Amino acid sequence: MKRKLITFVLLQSTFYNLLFTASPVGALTMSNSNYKLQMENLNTAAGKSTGTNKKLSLTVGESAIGKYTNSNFTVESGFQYIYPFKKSTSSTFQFTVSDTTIDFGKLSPANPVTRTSTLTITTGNATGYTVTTSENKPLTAAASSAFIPDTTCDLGTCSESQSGIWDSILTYGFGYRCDNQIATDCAIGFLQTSSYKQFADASKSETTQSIMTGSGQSSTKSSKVTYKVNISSSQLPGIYKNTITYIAAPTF
Amino acid sequence: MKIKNLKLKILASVIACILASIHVSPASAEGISLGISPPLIKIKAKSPSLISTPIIIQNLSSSSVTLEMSLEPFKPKNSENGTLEYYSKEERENMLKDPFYKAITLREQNTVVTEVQLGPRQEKTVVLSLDISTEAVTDYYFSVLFITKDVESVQKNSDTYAKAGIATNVLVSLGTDTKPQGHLSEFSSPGFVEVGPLPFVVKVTNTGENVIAPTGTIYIKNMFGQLVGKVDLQQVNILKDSTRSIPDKNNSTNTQAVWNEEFLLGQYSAELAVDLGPDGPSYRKKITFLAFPIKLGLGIVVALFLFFVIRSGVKKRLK
Repeated sequence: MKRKLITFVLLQSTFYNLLFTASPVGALTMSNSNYKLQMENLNTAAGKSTGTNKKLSLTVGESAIGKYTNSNFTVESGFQYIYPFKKSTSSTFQFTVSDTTIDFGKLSPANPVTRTSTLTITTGNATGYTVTTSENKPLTAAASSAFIPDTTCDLGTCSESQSGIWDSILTYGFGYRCDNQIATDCAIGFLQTSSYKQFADASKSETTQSIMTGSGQSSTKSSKVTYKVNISSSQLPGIYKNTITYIAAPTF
Repeated sequence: MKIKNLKLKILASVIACILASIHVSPASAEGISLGISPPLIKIKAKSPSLISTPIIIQNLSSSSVTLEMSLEPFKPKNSENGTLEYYSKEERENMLKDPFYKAITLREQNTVVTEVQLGPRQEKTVVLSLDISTEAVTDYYFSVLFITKDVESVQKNSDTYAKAGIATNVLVSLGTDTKPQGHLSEFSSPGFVEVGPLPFVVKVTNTGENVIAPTGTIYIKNMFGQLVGKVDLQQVNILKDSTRSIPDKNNSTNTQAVWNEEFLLGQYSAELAVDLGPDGPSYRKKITFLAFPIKLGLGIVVALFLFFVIRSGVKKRLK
């Protein structure tokens, strides 16, 4: 009886899992006025650039990419209409961040914690790209406003633009490094395995920094970001948080 | 398989639903994946114009996402390879006060929006509308950014929340047609090479008011004046007041035009012909370089030396 019950539960749970988690089939199109499931062919749901002197019209159902002209303007949309090559390449530029929450757990003094996530770019028909990064503020405890400063590395020399070696467990702070996975697009300064940089701090108006840059159409690039945090014994206990922003922009 | 007890059946179904729902819930560490098309929009317009052009934004991840949209003016980075650089927060705020930017809207189904919500694997079309009423002859370069909205972290540990943003670039040239202005700022190659491929550096500076997209070709001749190679340059956008390296059409690197010839021998001349626009101006520049495969040459010398040593040895023995 018990065995039957367990089997029944497992079968039902598998059925529900399949029902709720199955990926949509590429060719399937389901839509209403404000929702549309993704289709394999991106262009079919696009619109066409139009307009004239103070007259506006929009024709949904035509491709977003193309060249459109009238007496007052020209719109060239998409690299293949600007740079005439590789017309078969998909026009979609894609960016993936593998993890949005980087959980450092409970921080303890002189016990460095590292976490990783992966950034992936698919250039489509863009000829290159750059990914910039910045933090909204240092890791900060909401309750006390105490913060973990950005690391200055072992020699006190690293910054958002300059990397430095960070080996010592007596060096405190928060920083990151970048390791190439597919292609070699990580920013310079990470050749040594313990080189780290600070994130550019937007609260101090520091300039966002490039973390990945690459070229080549129709290519996939990937890099691993390692986050590192280490606190001193004088650091106030608390839950420290901040936000990192990655922006992927194609070349022009 | 039969379970006779109805209560047990219901209980089993409830447990199964709970198990399934636990699996379906998005994990807190789940990633985000975005797609955008087109990655570049180039507009040339004169006043008055009302232009609308669609941008398709995709959520490629398996959970819903809310994206905030914004305009971000940019300038070319010093790397001269078409990579952009955003302005500081203060500079950006000042630039966005320009009436040109104030007349730009992003619309979803004819409604002006500042954010867009996308379900799992959903895509939407956002229409970029520009109302151009200025008579000025100038350029504006900006990205339309889609960035994931801040999410209140529910983690009870210290953590970092990673936001992802994706951009499409818009190059707008305003005013009547002006003749491109600029010059060829560099055309060079290594003076001596052993083997190919041979990289050329071609840099063009735009000194005009509008973006230019020069076309060009490098013609390579050998020491007998025969045409032995041709490298077509990629047509790239050079923003006003900037210099850009122009790669070859295959775009193997974004800073060099590469002649993919492996075996090179002797003196070569390479002539660059570049047109800044369909009606010029045109520039030509010629450089020369030497090529000699030293390793192959040394190999031949050693082989000849050994040949003569052996031959003389054989001759001596025969005598």
